[in-house]
Amino acid sequence: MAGQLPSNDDSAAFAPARVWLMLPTWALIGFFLLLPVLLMLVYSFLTKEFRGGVIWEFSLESYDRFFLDRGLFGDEPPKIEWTYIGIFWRSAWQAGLATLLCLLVGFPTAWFIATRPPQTRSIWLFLVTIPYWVNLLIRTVSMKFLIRDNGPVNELLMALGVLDAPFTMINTNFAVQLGLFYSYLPFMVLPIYAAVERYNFALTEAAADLYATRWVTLWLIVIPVVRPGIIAGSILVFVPSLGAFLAPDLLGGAKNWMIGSLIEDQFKGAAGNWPFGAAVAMVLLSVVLVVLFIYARSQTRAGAR
Amino acid sequence: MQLRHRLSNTDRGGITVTSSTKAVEIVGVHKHFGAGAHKAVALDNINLDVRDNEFFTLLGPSGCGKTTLLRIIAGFESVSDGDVLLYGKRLAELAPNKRPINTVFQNYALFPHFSVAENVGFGLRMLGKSKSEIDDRVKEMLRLTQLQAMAERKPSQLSGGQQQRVALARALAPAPKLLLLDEPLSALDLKLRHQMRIELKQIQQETGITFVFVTHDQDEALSMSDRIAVMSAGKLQQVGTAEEIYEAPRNRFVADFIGETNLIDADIVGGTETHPRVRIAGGIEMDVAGVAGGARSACISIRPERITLSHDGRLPCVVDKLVYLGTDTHYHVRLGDGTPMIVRRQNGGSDATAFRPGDTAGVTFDPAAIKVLAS
Repeated sequence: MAGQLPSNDDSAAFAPARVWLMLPTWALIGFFLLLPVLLMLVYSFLTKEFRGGVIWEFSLESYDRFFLDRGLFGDEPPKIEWTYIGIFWRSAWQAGLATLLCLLVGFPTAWFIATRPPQTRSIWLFLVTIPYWVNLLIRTVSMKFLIRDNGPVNELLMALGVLDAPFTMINTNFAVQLGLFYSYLPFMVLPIYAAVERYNFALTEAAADLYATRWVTLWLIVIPVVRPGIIAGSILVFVPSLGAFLAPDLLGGAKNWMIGSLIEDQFKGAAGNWPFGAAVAMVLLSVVLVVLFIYARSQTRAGAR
Repeated sequence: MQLRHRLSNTDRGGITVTSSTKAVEIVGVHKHFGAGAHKAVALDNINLDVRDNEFFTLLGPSGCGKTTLLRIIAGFESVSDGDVLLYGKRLAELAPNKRPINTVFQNYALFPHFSVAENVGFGLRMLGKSKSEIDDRVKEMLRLTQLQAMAERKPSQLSGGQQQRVALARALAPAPKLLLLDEPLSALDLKLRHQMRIELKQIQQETGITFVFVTHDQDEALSMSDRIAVMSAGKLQQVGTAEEIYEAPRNRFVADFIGETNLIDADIVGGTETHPRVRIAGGIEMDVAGVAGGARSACISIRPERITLSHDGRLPCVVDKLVYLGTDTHYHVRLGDGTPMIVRRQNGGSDATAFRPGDTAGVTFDPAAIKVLAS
């Protein structure tokens, strides 16, 4: 049927060429996305070898270890293992809190930049991205030096007489949170900026004209209209925060591990348990996919409007 | 209308003498943007009154300050000097969301995430009205603007004309004391624009709300307004009914901006202050009405439709070219001394005498058709 149209005949003639043109994309997705994820999936079901590495033998041991204290295969009924779920939980609320803080600071920042005269906006945006010219590891280590007990922050506060003794910030959840917030703030600012820049400020005037107060206007008009930017920014902060390992490792110490630290330890550290690391990574990936799925659904619903 | 017409005859230079209720009083309003060398004057000593239940139009070219004046009334801009009163109450202390004024914005500014009904009900919702009251009022407004079938749609699913109606319904729903309209028809196509002119005027009469309408389109202003304020370069040029500003323009700008006219330099050779005798091209002298103010020369205005072109006309002329416009034809003619003039002749008349370029003819006009203008 479609072949009756000459243009379709033409495009059919180009079909092999189109396959070749698609090849780089498919190769990229295959090598750098599907293959590693599949490899992880397979590894997570293998048996641990003593010094890192794996034995090619199917095993549910890693998932069992993550979720359950007494295994499915013992004599007694299974019992939930809370250690790793606890780490996961800490990761989730640290990432959630980082997202919230980034939103609270990033939204006004983005608003401020988007409402400057067009000539000066790029300067503000440049200032926001400047820290990104420095490697994340170096920035995180610098943060460690800033907030340690005899670091400049504590010394300044003591010199000013605010504190008598150093206030311990290093190796706490607070330090991890500070690291996450600082690392990912621009990921919140930039998408919100893009949304606010497109915002029609006549809507704010229209709301005021129709008797809305400033807060009501913000809540009922501004936030819903720039919502796609807020959601994009939140995902860009939440997802990498959830899997972060630099901030918890360097600023949080051993007691404040997040899921990223746990995975890192399985592959690189003393634990050396690749199947378990792979299993934890798969659990993390599943959680991230669920979050992204919820986002995608909310987007289609917004698109249907 | 008759009463209104008579009252407005006393308007002069923005100072209105009237016995009817004043909806808006604009008293000595100045507005400038920036400071020092970059200071730009947007409004220069504006004084005018808008009467209760009036369709009032601010007319002028872009940049004349009409939108700034509208935004001052709405509360989106502050005055640099002067006062704005709404039914005798000073507006300066009231934030925009406290003023009983609603606006139809130029590009409508409809809330994209709300349905038509939610847009229309927004003002009432903000005023804390009950849900049933809002629903009733929204229904009424949608009926008034013929949007009943669109209630659940989003603004992006509507045509330009429908969006325009939603903006109007949204602004009318809270029953404001004053409705401001900022070039609401400029984004519509010609046919829809003509239809909306009639509808707007009808809605204004039905609701009895005072309208202040901003436009740069003189046809819009002439066809809808009870009174028109012509503005230019931040100054008020004339306030009056459509007929007054068309037939009796106060100055050169108004005569030129409203409709088409022939502006001709003339010498004042005698007569009195109010009835000067002027001499125009070819030495023709005539007594006309208008204020000469002691000047030796003046600019006079004659509308093209007030001039007759015939073979035995009083002032000899040569026909330069013809512009055919359907209902009528414009003859571009040149008088004996080279003064160009445009004469309008209605087409399809029984005595349609054809003139061709190069023909010699004569123009005749009644001295009463001539207005002496302040320059």
